[in-house]
Amino acid sequence: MHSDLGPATSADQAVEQLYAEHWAALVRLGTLLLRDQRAAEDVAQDAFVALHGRWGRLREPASAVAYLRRSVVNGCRSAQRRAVVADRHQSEPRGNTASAEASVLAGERRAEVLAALARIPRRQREVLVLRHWLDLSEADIAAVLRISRGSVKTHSSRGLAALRLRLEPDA
Amino acid sequence: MNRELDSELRTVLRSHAESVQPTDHLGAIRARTQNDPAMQWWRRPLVLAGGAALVAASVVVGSILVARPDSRPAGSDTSVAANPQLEVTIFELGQVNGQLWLYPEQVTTEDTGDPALDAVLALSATGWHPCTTAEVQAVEIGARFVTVAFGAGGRMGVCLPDVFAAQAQQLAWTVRTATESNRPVRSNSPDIGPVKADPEVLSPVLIESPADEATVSSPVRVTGTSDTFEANVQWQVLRDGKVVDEGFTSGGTMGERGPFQFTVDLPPGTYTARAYATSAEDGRLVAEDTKTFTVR
Repeated sequence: MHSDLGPATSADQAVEQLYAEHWAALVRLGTLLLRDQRAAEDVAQDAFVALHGRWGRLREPASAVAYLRRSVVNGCRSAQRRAVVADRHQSEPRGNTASAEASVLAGERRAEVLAALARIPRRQREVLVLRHWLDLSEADIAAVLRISRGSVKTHSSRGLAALRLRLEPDA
Repeated sequence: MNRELDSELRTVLRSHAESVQPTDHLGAIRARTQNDPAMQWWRRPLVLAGGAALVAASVVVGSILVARPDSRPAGSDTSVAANPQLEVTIFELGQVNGQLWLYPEQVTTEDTGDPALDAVLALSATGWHPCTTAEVQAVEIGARFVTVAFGAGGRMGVCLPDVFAAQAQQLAWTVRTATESNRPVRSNSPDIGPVKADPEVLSPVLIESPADEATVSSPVRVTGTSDTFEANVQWQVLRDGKVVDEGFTSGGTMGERGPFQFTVDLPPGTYTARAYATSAEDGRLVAEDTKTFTVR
């Protein structure tokens, strides 16, 4: 996953290294969950700052990536649930969001799938994105979301069922 | 069929993710973690639609409210998680028509054996940074005060008084719930408090059950607490954004937060319960809370 983060690594070094390896993926994870790249970048930035602050207390440096992913997932949840983040960007145009991406690129079906994904329950969406985009194992998803493996299975199958219902209502 | 959707979802997510070109934030992260004085203040000012007067004049002490010292670890077979975990209640900021309110939220965080600090760090992880770049280093529970120590070298930045007051309340409530003590919370830099958790900054309408993302059976009993004009609480249950049921109920009023509830029969599916209050003068929305849940 990442090379040589050990207990002797300083917080600054850890952040630099993890940034180089995971920044893009974390922003993309946030964008898939939040459908707003700029807000996702703020959330990912907060995740790195939080990691820096608690680096000395992470008992297992190898869990830093799971910590970052969890921070992004939780941060997206907060951002989505309340409108505060949106207000931060009030003075700037909010491009790169659902409508823009729906009109450009790979056509209607992709937009349909993304729209359906945005409408299923949050937990199910998180599990599906972690599994189908990051290719995480059930155990890793459980660790990121702090839920049991059984719950990962449940959310995953319910999420797919909910998605199918929205995409193929007659099936 | 499953497999097709599986692979289609994979393809869609991949192509969508690849279309995202992240911009570089390393400089901003360094500025926030290394306190480089040459860096500009990193954070854009919060801009709110209306002035939010959060410093309530009088405090109703002893209102019933959400102390949830619930520290059971979430999930039992997450042995892959290297750090122990802790469920904490943090208080997030929301706004309704320009007015800021606090909403308690359960989150799971690393358990470092210092529950007050863990809760405050969980709050920070949601983007809570009260006018400083510094991170919280310690939460000390003294005889008279709870003192929150931020790391050295953090710089003050653009800061709106109403937002700062709300952030101080987020801290006071988060610490109060984690420590089960209502000692005033203070900090020297940034200059916070001493401030007590003030019941009047909590959203006047809060849904407590079902929990967000819970799976429940029908009939569904929705419960919460409120403090609204003439105790009126309006509610709706929505499915795919459409109202499937709605009604009125009553909770507390006149500064006395009281319980409300309503019960709905629902076929299996995913729903959002919305409880809200409107202004008696002009019908404007003044408070609301929502929870999304699944009926099995």
